[in-house]
Amino acid sequence: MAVCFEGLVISHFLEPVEVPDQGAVDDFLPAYDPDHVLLSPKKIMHLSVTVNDHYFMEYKYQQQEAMNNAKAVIKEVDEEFGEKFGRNYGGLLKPYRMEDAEVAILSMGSSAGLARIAVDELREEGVPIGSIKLRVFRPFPEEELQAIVGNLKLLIVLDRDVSIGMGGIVYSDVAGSLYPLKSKPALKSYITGLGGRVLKVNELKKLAMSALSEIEQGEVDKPALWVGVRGLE
Amino acid sequence: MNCEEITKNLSRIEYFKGGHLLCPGCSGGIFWRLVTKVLGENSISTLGATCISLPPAVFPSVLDIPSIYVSMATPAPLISGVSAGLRALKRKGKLAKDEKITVFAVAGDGGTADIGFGALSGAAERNDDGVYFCYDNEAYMNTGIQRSSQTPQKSWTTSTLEGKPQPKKNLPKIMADHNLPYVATASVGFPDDLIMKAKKARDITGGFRYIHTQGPCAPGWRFPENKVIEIARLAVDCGMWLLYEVEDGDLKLTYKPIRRKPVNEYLSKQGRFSHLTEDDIKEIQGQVDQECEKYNF
Repeated sequence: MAVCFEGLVISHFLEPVEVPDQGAVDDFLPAYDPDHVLLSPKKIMHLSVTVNDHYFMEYKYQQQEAMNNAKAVIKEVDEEFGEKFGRNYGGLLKPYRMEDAEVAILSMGSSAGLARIAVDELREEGVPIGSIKLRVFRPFPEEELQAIVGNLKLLIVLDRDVSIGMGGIVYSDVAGSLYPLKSKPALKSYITGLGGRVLKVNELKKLAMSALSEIEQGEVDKPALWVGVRGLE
Repeated sequence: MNCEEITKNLSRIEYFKGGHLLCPGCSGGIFWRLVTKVLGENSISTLGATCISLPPAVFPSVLDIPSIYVSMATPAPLISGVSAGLRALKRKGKLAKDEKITVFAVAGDGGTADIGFGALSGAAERNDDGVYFCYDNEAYMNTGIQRSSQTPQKSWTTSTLEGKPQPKKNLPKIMADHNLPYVATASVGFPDDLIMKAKKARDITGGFRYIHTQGPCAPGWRFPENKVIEIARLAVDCGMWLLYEVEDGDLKLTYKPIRRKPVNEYLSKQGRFSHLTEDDIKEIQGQVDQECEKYNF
């Protein structure tokens, strides 16, 4: 499992934190008392063993199964947390103002907060736009994504990463997930915010509007655009 | 204790089972069987990356002793970590205070003398509680016979095609200079001696104990698989590998042949020395004589 935590900007912020009652926390998350994690002669265990060709594929298959099973657990825990503490985070995906949206911005992490502000401002101007926050990257929420993008005209994918020689990593996975759909939105890929480069709300709004007008003019298959790179404006 | 007594008292239980992936004739299998029989079930092992770590560390494991398999550099700090963990469990009452669990590391010569040397020296200097076994087959055998600091001078390896220019680093001596409670050299060709030393190391309470065992490698040293014990014994009989123990700074030889054999008997049986000239052999003999004189061997 990998837990991604954005550096610098998020970690250097001061923000109010709501600390629930200790009893409620202990009730939700009891003390960790694992059955078998210690190296003990009483119960033999081998840590960090390697697997050769004899068992490697079975091992990988089990990993994949475990990842797929995690989807239900993530949703369940998120719901339980919501019931107990009055706030939840949407499980695998967090849609925002997606009900009648024709355009949506898909992003992860702090970009999603920015996207929500941009959506609110554009909605005031009458643009039918929403936002999707990808909360979990692995397991990738394929079905959940397919279920909410069917009616969109355009899906804008913000990547704060780049797979050198290919493009945005989130974009590739989103495109792969939507491929089986009969009716699917046009996709636009943007590389933004690498190394903490700031993306502003106005830039994001402009970017969304120009993507929309490009689609309306039928310019669909354009390569990923790098946002905020010196000499590229 | 005599040889007969030692073998009679040895556990009948096999903690290191068959069906593993060591090469035919590997001396590492002998090493594992003997050492685990001595240390027994009340022990925890930390394994550095080495060919003889693979039987316990590749699924399904053949070792009936809990183990943790780590990089070449870290079996020694893991002795520190595991023994500190056991202390913490005792403090918290999760483990009986008088429970004696031996923490031991097994690592190869490259992992011990080269890659993991800094970490090993650190754990030894802190005198952390455990037994460190260096299994020395005198090169990086698992990766294809590349020279290590434990490869003897003039020996062929795949990275020293014309023979290694540098002499073998005297690691047991360096470890003894850490003022450890127990340092010993051993050989798989002398099982009674190895068992006796492993027992001694096991029974010392607290502190870092170090045993450096030479184990001939048939594919790496270039000799037939059925000659492992013969070669191991020759190394000792000709004085190229000395068996001794150092307790509180006192070095004591534990084996001395009636007559030392010439080094050529040992060298000529191995392909890795097949390129040596008569002068080379004379030079090696001279060095060995000098070294043996120091130890009165």
